[in-house]
Amino acid sequence: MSVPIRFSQLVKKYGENTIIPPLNLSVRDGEFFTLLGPSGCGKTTLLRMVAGFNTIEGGTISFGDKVINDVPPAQRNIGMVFQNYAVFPHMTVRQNVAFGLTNRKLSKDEISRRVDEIMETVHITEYASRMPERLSGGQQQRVALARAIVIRPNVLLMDEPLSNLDAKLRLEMRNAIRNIQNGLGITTIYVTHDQEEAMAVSDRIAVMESGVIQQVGAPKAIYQRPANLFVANFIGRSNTLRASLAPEGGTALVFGNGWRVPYSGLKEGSPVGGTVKVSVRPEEFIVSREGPGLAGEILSSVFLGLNTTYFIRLFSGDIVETVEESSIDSILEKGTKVSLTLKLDKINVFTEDGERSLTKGGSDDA
Amino acid sequence: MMRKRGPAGGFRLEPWLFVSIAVAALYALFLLYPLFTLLSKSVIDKNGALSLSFFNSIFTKAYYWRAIANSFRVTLAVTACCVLIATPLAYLMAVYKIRGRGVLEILVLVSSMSAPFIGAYSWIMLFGRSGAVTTFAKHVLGFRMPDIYGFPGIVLVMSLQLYSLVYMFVSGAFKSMDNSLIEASESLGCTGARKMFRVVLPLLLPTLLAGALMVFMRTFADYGTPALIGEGYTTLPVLVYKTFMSETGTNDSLAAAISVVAVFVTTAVFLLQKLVVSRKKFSMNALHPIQPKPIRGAGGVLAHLYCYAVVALAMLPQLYVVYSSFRKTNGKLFVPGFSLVSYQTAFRTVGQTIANTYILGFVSILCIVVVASVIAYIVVRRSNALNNVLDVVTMFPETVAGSILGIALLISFSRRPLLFSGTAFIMILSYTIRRLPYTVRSSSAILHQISPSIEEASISLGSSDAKTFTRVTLPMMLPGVVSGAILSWIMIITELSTSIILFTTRTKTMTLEIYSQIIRGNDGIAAAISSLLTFSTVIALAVFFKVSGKKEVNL
Repeated sequence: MSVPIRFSQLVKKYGENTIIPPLNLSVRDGEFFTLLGPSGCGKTTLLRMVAGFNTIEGGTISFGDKVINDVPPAQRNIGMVFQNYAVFPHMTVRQNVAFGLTNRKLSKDEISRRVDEIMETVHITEYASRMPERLSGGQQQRVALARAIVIRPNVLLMDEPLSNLDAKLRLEMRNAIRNIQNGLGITTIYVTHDQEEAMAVSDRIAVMESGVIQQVGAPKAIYQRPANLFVANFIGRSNTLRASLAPEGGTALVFGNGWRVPYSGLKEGSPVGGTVKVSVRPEEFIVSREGPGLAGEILSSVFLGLNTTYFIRLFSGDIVETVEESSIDSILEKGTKVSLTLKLDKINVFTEDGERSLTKGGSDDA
Repeated sequence: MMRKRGPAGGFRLEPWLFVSIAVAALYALFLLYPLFTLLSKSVIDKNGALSLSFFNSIFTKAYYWRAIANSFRVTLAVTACCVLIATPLAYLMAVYKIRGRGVLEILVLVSSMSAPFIGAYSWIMLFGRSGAVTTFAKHVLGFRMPDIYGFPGIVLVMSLQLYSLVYMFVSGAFKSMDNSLIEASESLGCTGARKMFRVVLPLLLPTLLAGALMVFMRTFADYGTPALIGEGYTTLPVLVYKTFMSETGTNDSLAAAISVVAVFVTTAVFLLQKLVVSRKKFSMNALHPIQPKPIRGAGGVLAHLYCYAVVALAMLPQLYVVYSSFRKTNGKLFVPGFSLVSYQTAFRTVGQTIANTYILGFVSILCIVVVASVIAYIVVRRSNALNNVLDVVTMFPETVAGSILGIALLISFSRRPLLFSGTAFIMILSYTIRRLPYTVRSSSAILHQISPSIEEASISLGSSDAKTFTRVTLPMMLPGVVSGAILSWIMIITELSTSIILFTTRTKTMTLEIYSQIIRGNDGIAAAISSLLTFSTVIALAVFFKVSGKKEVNL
């Protein structure tokens, strides 16, 4: 049976060092929830607190209504997939998968039936009698996954499960993991530093930095309406421009070269003046040969087939990256003077310190 | 242009082939020929006819087969004790924060590096018939201590000496065990004793077997301990020595026959262990090593008590020897008070012996360094049929008891043109052959970590094979070679069983001197030389840690 997970005022300390200051978060029943952040941000620490391998210095973690702070790991009914798989090297694939079931009071037939079933699900039936040493990384990963889910855990925890696989296998395995999780509907917490992987598998993502959750939301929300500049820069690629706000029958963004453009996307109650940071993704620029806009000059171009990326030096000296669908015409030459305008419905405006989004439609879903 | 490599496993006409052939020739002459001589001696009677009469008498006369049975009994008991003592010790030290752990580990190491018979001698000084503790118990407390001679004494001395080997192996295995394996077991509902028997012990098993094998070989081959503390309890090496050294005529052949039996036994055990390990083998790499946890309460006290007690008990003989070396003596007897008179006597009367030990040791080490680095290179980098055979042959002396190798060398090289008996050369030869495996192992280990493309880069830049080896590969291998050589050196200066067969008065070493001083009852001098030996070992270990930059020894 799957359960929701709630973190309430949760604190992690190592000695006097606070790794995670009080943290609140809810993971919904059956949800695929990802903790995403750069290495050292505390995401694995948090996961291991759920698993019971790290102590809790304050607050609570609950499965449903039950606080599990003091429940030993063996009794939390958790399936965990470790970064290096942790497949027992002295047992066959079958023994590995059956391991958790043999620790429960189940009949031999029942164990055998469930093991067969799960090995079928993750496509490892043909390796049943092999020793782990004779398996590839992807196969070991499947064994680890099967071993974790065969016990029908309340919660499935995965700690960077794909980081040791090569790029192609990673893609294949993440689809497999997503499909299997979808089919079983187990509440899942997944830890990764790879934002593309997070977007591909998650129902919701929590972006973490220095032990603090920066934003929680669906992949689309996090990508399109980041809560702050950190999230905007961590997820996908972003260019950051300085601008100021001017009241002008509504509000306008004014850039350093004097280009002004009316902007109606601000939240209610936003200031009507002062400096702001504008975050523009490469695909949110429109590159023209002339007309009003941000003046710049092509530095270099990269033709990627579907798209063409340009690196452009702006009037301010900043270098920005733009991307557009490749056209049949020739690529803009190095040194070409261009003018950049913005897809105003897509860009995001932040306070000058980058801490807060001023753009409408942003949400935090924790 | 890329230089084409020969097909894997095939021969290529190149300088390294000549090196392989040269090494093979040396081993054929100095190891295989003596072993063959030993074998032939055991099956040829004094009329030159083929005969199994010597084997026949070994298995029919109780005097002989009882020694074989004794050896087995002692060896199995010691191996079991070592595993039972060392495994919990390694577990506690790996899983819990034991106070003073660094010091404990160094003490374990130091106690493992001393000559076992010195331990036996020290235990006799303490608990023997007129030992310090025995006398104290008898006169002051009024009761008789249990007898330390014979089977229990050998097992006690050898176990406390050799448990450290198992400890080093097992604690190494704990270091390579990934903590997530243990966590995976816990999260799947397997904890406590179940976790121990289903996960932890099976993961340790290959390492435990490797450690147990080493203990088995050392115990089976040890001459000094049973000779000193065994009294009537004769084991194979003692029997071989007695038979070979007795003055009556046919005994060379009989000693050879006993040796052949012993070599067969050890080889069989060696192969059996390899077979079992190869079935159970798997590799582990610790991405997240086990982090020691603090331990408090009664459990904590017990854990600390266990660790301290084991290490203290194992160090006791060494400490008592050092203490004795500073005691005042009057002739052979200790008298109250302290002095340096034992050291003065030692330097005055046996100074040459001390010089011999270092000179023979260093010459042997030079030979070992040269031969071992070459062997490691050809085995790791130039794998072909010949070099694979060399790999096995050079490691084989580990399974041959020292006294047996001594006898084999002596009976093979006591006639012109190969007359080496009684020379320093034959001592150096035996040291080199016996202690080379340590250096080969550490050299191969480091070579496995050096990418072959570094050599290919050197060759593609125009260096010859020889220049590539001396200018590129060897310097990179050096830390591994040197750290192995230091271990080999420690094993040489503490070695007794081969030397006791091969030495003459001119080539007497410290261990031999200690042994004969013990036999003569000069306890003070024996203690002084033993302390010097311990001191040399400790310095060598300190150098080892400096050179290897490691905090542990891999045997």
